[in-house]
Amino acid sequence: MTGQTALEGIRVLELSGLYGAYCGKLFADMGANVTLMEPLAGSPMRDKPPFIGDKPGENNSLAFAYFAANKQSVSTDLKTADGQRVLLQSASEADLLILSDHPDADAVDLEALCVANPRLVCTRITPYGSSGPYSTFSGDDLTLMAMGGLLTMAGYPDCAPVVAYGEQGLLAADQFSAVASLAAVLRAERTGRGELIDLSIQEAIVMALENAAQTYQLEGKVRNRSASARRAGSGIFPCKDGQIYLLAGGIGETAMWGSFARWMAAQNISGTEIFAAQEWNDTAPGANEIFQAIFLPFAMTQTKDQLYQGGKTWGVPIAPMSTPVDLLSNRQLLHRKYFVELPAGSPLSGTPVPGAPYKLSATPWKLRTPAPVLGRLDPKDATQ
Amino acid sequence: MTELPLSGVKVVDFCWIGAGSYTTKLLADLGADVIKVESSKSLDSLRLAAPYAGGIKGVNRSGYFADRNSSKRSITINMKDPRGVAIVHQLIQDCDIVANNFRPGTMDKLGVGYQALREMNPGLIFIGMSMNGDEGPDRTMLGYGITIAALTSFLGLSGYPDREPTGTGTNYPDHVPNPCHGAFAIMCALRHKNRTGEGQLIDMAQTEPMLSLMPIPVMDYSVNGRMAGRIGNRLEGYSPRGVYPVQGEDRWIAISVSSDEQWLALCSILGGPDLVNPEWEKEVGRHTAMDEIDRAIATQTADRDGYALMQNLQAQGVTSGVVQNASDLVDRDPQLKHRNHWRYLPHKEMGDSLYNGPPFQFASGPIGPRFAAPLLGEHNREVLTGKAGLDDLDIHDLVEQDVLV
Repeated sequence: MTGQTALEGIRVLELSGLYGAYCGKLFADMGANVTLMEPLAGSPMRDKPPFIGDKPGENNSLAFAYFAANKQSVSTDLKTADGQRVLLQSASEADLLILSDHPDADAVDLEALCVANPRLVCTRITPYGSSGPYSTFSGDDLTLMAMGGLLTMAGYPDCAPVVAYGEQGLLAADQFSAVASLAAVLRAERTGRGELIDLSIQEAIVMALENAAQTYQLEGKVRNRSASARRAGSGIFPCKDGQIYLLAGGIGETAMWGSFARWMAAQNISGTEIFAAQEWNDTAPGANEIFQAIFLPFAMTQTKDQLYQGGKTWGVPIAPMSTPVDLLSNRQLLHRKYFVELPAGSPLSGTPVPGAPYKLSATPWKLRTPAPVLGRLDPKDATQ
Repeated sequence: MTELPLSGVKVVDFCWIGAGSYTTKLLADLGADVIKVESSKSLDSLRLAAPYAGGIKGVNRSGYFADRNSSKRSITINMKDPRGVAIVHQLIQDCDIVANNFRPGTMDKLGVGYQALREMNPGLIFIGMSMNGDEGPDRTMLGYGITIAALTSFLGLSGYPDREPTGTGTNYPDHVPNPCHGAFAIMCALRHKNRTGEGQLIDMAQTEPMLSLMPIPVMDYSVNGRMAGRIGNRLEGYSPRGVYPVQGEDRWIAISVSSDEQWLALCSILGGPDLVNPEWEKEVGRHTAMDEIDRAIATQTADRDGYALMQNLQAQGVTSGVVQNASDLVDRDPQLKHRNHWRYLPHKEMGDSLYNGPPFQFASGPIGPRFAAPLLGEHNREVLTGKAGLDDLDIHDLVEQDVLV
């Protein structure tokens, strides 16, 4: 192990609010020097619930503890001349500046910063992009998931669409921002030319529509929400200690019925011959009822993990519907030491958090420092 | 005109279906030369996934495949034949990145595992993206986006509290978390290679990026002993936050209120007696009456035009957005038009077909899909006469002998 990191030497200034932080985190965790430039009152993320013991406090937010780890903090008032001097000085020494919903985002002139430092990459993340008819609209995860087209596919036809857990639309924007930013930084290191990147959260969500846009363009069909429609062998099913998701119906041409039928036959379950029969059609009327009558009595004798292991043995895609407790004791995640503890030096030290999303053999992901105390770093050292 | 960010980067791509192909598409659209190694003997099953151009099934007609494979070139190689493997080895000697999303061990069986390839090319970056990663007791598990969503608890936490979970209605991890994390990891390794000449192995389990995007359930359980549950469209810090009916069949608007000022603006636009309640003027009062408030809002929105209501609300600072479907987005959304999101690229068999542009714009010049998805084996001659040193006669013979198929 060389102790090298992939992004060492890259200096990042992050002016974020309730989004933008995961973009900076991806850089920080691979070794970049990321400085969070906070207003004097602190980043809005510091006020985001839940908190330790449900007590709000500058260093008590679980989200801030996770998303700001490995970063440093300077605090400055960008509405003052002094604050602007700090920003200009820091940006002139930085490789990447990330600007999202920082409370004083309007006081940041990215074009001027790009002129001052021609090799700087500036990435601006806004709900709809920085120009155009909706560019002045406000947006949060729910309304952007609506406008980006993912919400319409989620839920039951008999009630309002329902948004995915965990503000994934905002995080989608952060992820695409990180990809575009790193590509531009690599080019800047090669050519000396920076970039101004304009990212729309709405469009980042549009990237997640699977085949919905093409289905409309090529076949004229509009995909809708259909959570209660079920083809046999695909969906959520109960078992002895919870629920599992089974995908015996497969996707497209890759139906898993053969493997599934062999698995059921090996359990000596009566009636399973029908799954292997030539004429079996998992989308035919009544197929789901036949399937459930055979599969459910078996599933109810098995735990989530027993069914998962069965799927592994027989080549059938199936997975436990995990709870957070299941995740912390998941044998595969334990083997890979996926969850790690927040480092010493903060009220949340020792708390298990998601670890490396990828394992790089020469330049591993690493959690080094806890989320910073507000304004701990002297502004003149912002990009040192 | 500035050169593309990844121009000069060479990728030999064994990815298929969803997340893997989307990862290398991101690299290709940013300028990398991506050669997709395919075979008619074992098709990328996305080539046979709807929708099809003109509704007619065919290996070169899937719009789903096309969108995930823009800016790539395709060659067909029978990897069961040693001559096919030898040709691939030639390409790999000269490339930066090899990518795959097979189960662990498959690339070794094909003769293109990491240990073998790094001997030929020590600067090689090799990424594997199986469901559970290269190591561990469940590494051989077969996974899809939806089963990954289940295992990570993302599916179980998405939906209404009193009904079965609904997730996104898609294979979400395939479309954002895994492609973006995969592309980011590859570029990290590229930077290390640029500085040191050293390649490396990237082991990305497709469950893990999704888990990295949902830290709170595990942290809240550990710190506060609280078990996360489904909360529908609600979120702490917002009241109300919901999706309400508007005029038209199955039309809806999403509204999120995060301050007392927004609440008063919402009430003044919606009007009606049901929303007037002094106790609701403060967040703490609304917080305990969410069901009642949701019903009162729905009564007021049901007969209004969604887009007009959104414009009104936004003009008064109330965060809102119409629930748009594919038809709204492709044909009408003026913002996506302004940003030139949709691209129509000429395809040899499909005609002008629809691709997503990227969600980011570069001030220096155009960025995004450079050309349409390849036909199966479309670039055999172009790639193999250039990079693998074959001539036309060799290629003809190797096709006849079932190697380049």
